[in-house]
Amino acid sequence: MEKILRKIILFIIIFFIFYFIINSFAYLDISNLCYIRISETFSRSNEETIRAAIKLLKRQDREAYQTLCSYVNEIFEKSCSNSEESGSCYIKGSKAIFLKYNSDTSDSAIKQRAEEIKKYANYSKNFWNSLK
Amino acid sequence: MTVIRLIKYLSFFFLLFLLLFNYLFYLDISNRCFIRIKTSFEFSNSTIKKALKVLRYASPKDYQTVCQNVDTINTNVSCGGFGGGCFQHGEEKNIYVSTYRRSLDFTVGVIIHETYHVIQYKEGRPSSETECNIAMNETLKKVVEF
Repeated sequence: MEKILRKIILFIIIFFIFYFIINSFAYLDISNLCYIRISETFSRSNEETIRAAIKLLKRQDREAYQTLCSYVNEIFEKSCSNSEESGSCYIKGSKAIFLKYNSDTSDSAIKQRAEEIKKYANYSKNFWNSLK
Repeated sequence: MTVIRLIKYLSFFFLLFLLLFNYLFYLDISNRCFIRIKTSFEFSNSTIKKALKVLRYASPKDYQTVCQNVDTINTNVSCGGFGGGCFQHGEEKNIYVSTYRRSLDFTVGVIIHETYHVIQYKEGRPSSETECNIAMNETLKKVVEF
């Protein structure tokens, strides 16, 4: 009994270590089987607003959240083609979306990012469904 | 006991072989596409592989062009410099794409650009940046959705 208990505790500890490691570079929602890697540039990043925007979608728009979890596996916080003028985009044939860097952390900026994420997740969904 | 140990060793080496193969090569049996990816000091081939997959699904014609004309993608820095691409005359079917730090669509563009240099060389035509840039822009229009 003691051995089993020890194993369970060890499993829980390892699970939480993995959870925190994965959470440092990705958005992870086990209950909804949602894993999205968040890649940022070295020089600057506003990763927290991306996480907040995803959470906002989860709370306010379940359908968009499910689309995001199914059709996006990587969010890059950098402009398309590394060009500031290009802005955000979705790359067809992938499940990656690119969001233009924005230093603003206000609620309106988070809301705007959530809308952008929703838009590009739909692009991804449309692309992959068009191949079926 | 010895047989079990042998199976364990064989499984380990098979797994190791699969990992190395997956790291050093791009293989798409259904489209008969096999490309060797020479790794650089950045030790990441993931952007190249992702870019090839983007072409496979989003621009199949360009994908076939790459598969038929390129057999090695070298991720080391060459005449294209950091974050660029290059084709050196004499190195048939071998292109340099050093774009690990750049975005995925940029990598797609560089692969197409250098592939057209390979075609020009193969057909005995002089190197033309204009033709390569046009091909690259056409592909990017198909691939990127703003």
